Amino acid sequence: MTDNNPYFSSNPPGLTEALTGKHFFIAGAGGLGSNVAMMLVRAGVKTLTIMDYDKIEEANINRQFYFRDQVGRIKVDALKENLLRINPNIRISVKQAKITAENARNLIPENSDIILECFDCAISKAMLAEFCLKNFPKKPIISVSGLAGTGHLETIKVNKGPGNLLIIGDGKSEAAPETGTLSSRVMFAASIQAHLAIRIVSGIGRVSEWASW
Amino acid sequence: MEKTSATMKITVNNKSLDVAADKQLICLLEEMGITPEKTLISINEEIIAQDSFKPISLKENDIVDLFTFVGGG
Repeated sequence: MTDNNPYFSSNPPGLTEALTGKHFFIAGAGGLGSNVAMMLVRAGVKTLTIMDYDKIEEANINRQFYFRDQVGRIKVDALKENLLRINPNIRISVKQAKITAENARNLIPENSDIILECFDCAISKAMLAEFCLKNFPKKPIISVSGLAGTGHLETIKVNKGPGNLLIIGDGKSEAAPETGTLSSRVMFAASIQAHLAIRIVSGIGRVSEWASW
Repeated sequence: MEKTSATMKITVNNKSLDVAADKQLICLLEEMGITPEKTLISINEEIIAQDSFKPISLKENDIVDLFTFVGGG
């Protein structure tokens, strides 16, 4: 299906076509993943796989792409509905699952063009980065580390890790009750993550543009 | 007679370090206060799997890169 439809007519020329057929895998549907998915679908991405094990809680609504009447629902199911309201023509596969080193190979689509690490837990972040770099060395992976609190947005940087890994964040602001997570800062990191993914998958940008850590 | 223990040079996150010649990776991480499970580790640009930490001895001129993730997302 071509996208000479009015919904993508404001996109940069050629971008919608460049994203056609590209498959985005989003690991985690919280503050990062739900907003990344929303931005990707608005930008014209039509093939997504999203995984998360969790349900929506009241405390998620301050920054995640869900609504009060969805509290208590399974995140990936609610997110699928919200994304289909933006574009009913997307192909979205959702998996309610918790990723481990043992099941990662079954959960990560072999044919995905990019992996977006949107987990909350630092151990899961490290595990996914390690697994993907070892098992899918050609796939770009974009990870996030350090987005909590009220620090300046400018402290959130992009660094290149080993292989095809990019890491967004200030590297130190860990989410905790005393720091909190604020919509503007979480969405800033999510926005960089979605933007880099669009640039890389559409062929505008490359992982190697970024300086190593 | 004073006995001197053998040391070697390694590079950790772009900094040169003198460490004991038989230094194990897991000991280096412990001394640096690094939690292995939260850390992406490469030695000479090869990613080290979490389950293979213990047997790894570092060698002269090894280049070790460590990135410790913090939670939040």
